[in-house]
Formats: sequence, C-alpha cells, structure tokens
Amino acid sequence: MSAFWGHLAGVITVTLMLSFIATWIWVWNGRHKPKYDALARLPMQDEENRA
Amino acid sequence: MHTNETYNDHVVRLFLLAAAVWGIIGMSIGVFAAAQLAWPALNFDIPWLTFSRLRPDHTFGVIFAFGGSALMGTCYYVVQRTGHTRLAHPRLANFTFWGWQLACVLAMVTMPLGITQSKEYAEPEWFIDILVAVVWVSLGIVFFSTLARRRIQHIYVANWYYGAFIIAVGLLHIVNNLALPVSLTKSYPIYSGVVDAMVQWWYGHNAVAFFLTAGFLGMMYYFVPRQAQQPLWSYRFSIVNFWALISVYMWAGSHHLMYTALPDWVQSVGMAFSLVLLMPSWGSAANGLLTFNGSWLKLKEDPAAKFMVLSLVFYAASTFEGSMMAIKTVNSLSHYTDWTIAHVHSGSLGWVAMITIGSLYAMAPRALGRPAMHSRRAMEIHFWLHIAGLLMYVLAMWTAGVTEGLMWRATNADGSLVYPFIDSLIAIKPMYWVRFLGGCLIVSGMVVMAWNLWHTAAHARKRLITPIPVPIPEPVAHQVPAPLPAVG
Repeated sequence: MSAFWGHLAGVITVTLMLSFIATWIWVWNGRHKPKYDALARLPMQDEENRA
Repeated sequence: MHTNETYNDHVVRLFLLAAAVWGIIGMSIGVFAAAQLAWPALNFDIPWLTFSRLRPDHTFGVIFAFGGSALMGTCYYVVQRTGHTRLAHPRLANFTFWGWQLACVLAMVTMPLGITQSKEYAEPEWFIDILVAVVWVSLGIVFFSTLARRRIQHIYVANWYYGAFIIAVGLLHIVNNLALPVSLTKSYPIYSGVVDAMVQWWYGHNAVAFFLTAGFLGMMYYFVPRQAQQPLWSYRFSIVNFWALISVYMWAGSHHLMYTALPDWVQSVGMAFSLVLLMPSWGSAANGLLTFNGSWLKLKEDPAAKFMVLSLVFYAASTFEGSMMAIKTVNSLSHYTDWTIAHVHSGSLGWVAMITIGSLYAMAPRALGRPAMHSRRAMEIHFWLHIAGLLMYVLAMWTAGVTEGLMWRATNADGSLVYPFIDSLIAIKPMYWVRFLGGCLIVSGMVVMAWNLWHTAAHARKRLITPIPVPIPEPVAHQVPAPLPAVG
C-alpha cells in the first residue's frame, strides 16, 4: 500500500471514530431526555387506546 | 380530541393473511428440499422438482413472500400508530399488496421452470425485477408520505429502521439486477467475473442487512415495548445502534467471498467490518431484552412475548456466530459446509421468523378487531413446535458442518486427503434426517398459526369490525412539517 492510501485509510478511520463519539455525545445531551422518554412510551399507547 | 379519522388496517389485514399463507408454502418447499437431500430419489427425475430449482423457490418464498408480506404489513401498521395518522395514498397501498403478491407468484412459478438469473436471492428474471422495483418505489411513496403527515414531531426509531430497509433494499435490488434482456425469459447481467461476484455479494449480504435485519429490527422496536407494556429500555441507545448498524453493514459483504479471486485486502475489509458489526447487533438485542425488565412474568402467560424474547436471544447468538465465521481462519473451516446452513437458519428461523410470529400474534387481534387471539393454547403449541424444530435443525446442521469441515481438511503426511468426499456425505446423512424432522415441526407450527389467525379473523371476514379511530395529540408549537388537521 502506498503512503497516500495509508494516510487516507487513517483519516477515514479517525473520522469514523470521531463521528461515532460525536453521536454518543449528541444523543446523551440532557436536552433530548424529555422527548426520548416520551418516545420510549409511544408503542404502549396502542394498548392504552384500546382500554 | 374528537375525530372521525380512522387507521387504514384493511391493507394490514391483507398482508397478515398473505404472510401466513406464504409462510406455509415457503417452509413446506424447504422441508421437501431437505427431504430430497436425505432421500435423493424424491427428485423423481422431473426437472422442475429437482433440488436446484426448488431451493430458490424456498429462499424466495420465505424471505420475500413471507418476510416481505410481514414487513410491509407491520410497516403500514407501525407508521400509522407512531405518527398518529392515517396511511397516505390508500390505493397505492393496495397496489403494493397486489403487485407484491403478483411478483411473488410469478417468481415462484418461473424459477422451477428454469427461468432464472442464477444470482442467489435475486433469481427472478428481468420482467419480475421491474415489477418488484415499481412495487418497491410505491411502498416508499406510501411510507414516506405517511411519515410526512404524522402528528408526532419526532420520527419514532422503528420508522428509521423501516425507512432504511425501504431505501437500501430498493438501491440494492436495482443495482444488482441491472441486466440486458435478450428475450422475455433470458437476460445477462451487465457485470462480469469477479466484479459480478462482488456486486452479487454486496447485494446478497445487504439483503440480509437491510431486509432481514433492519426491517425486522423496525418490527422489534415497536412490538417488543408494546407487548412488554414497558417503555423501550434506552431510546438513546437505539439511535446509536441505528447509525452504527447502517454505517457498518454495507462494508461486510465481501466476507462471503473469502479465499476466492477477490483481492485479499477486500476480503480483509469485509472481515474487519463484520467484527465491528457485532457491537450494534448486540446493542439492539440487549435493548430489546432489557425492555422486558419488570415484565418477565409475561413469559409465563404470553406466548407472543416468548417468541419475541427467544428471537432476541437467537439474534444475539447468530450475529455473534456470523462475526466469528467472518474471521478468515474460522471461515476456512466453515465455508461451503452445512455450518453456513445452520448459521442462516439460526438467524432466519430463530431471529426473523420468531420476531415475525411474535409481532403477528401481537398485531393480529388489534388489526382484526378482537380482544385477543382465538386460541392461546394454539399459540403455546406453536411456540413449542417451533422451538423444538429450530433446535433440531440448527444442532443437526452445526454437527454436519463441523464434521464436513474437519473431514475435508484432514490430510495424510504426504498431503493426500484422508477421506474421499463420499465419506463425508455418508457421515452427515443422519443429520439430514434430523433436519427434515425439525423442518416438519416448524411447518406444523405455521399451520397451527394459520388456523388460529383464520378463527381470529372470523369477525373481519363478516365485516363486523369497526375501524380504529386515530388519537389526535395536541399540536406541538412550530412543528415541521406541519401535521394534518384532524378530519371531522
């Protein structure tokens, strides 16, 4: 593998890792919590509506 | 808020019925093909009854006809419930049902006649491929139009999986089936040689990824919390797993071509991504299982919940197995043996079929206007028939696969083979009998389910059920896109 492809592979790997970490930070941001808590209960409403 | 708007469950019921019928047809063909491997005389020297022609009928029947019908039906059910809105384009939705059934019938009839592209999981010829593409684009229009008119601002995670399933399968289907027709019944792919092989396995593996995984995860993320009557264990975790899964899965296809003419580095890329893939796979399995925390007692009384929990256990087990089999040294033992068959069926009968059956049992009473399934005892019988058949099947094929791998690799000191090939066939013959018996149990379970669904649908057949009203939530300020106003 030439130096160019080696560097490109390294850049892609680091970019993917940073994207992954950024996703975790974004998702665990506290401001999303009320919305996510409500969404986690959304499937249960089908049965609640039946009752 | 009062409204006259109701959910469109008519097309859901049609897909539910189709899934039950195709499940029996597809799996019965599989059992017959298994019997032919144990007793080759069952070919009867009739061309359209040979194993080579029935095998694609089995795979197409269970994956696309059974699985596809279940996915489309649940997709239409879930997108309405999680968006609190009625399905968009009802006529187009009906077209997706009839168009899909026509494509399945055409494929299932033409393949035994020898009309085939000879591409695994993409056997139907060009005219059927075009019909499938038209139906698929229609499915996308109905699904995304319904999402656009939702009254819940955020798109629930199950819809992300269904959306990925629709977009990616459309892309895979069209790219892999690019071909030049030379007559009504024959076409040639535009790819050749190793490029053809790589495109085929980019398609084949991602059909597993986006049809048999993403689509059924959409089903899981809705029906597991609904059946457990518990909120999803971690909504945040489901988002991380979604992005990780769809980012990684696309690159793992080359693990199907280990030790072939494919460049070695491409094989290594496939192996590395297959190992990384274990994390999002186990993430979703854990999220589903932990959602049952606090309602494990349901397992004693609710067979649908049993199907769901066991499906998640098999999802975790088969994805672990898949990642291990992608390691080159392991693959050198497993490839071309019945271990691959064991792995595929652990995933398809363990994960895909069981999450489907659990979800159908959960959805059917609601869609058919009944308080519960007609017979809980029949559900219980189905569960035990399926589990017993599945374990017999998978254990038999694991044993056969490892036996074959070890016998084929055994060499004498001078490098010659210890065993002639026929010895390995004789050694695994009892395992083929066990596989056939396991298959019989599984098909019996599917017949029990069809009987149960038929009786649960008695009121629907007499048109005695009333449509379910859409609950209209209070509007969220500045919601984009603006939800539809309530009707009535």
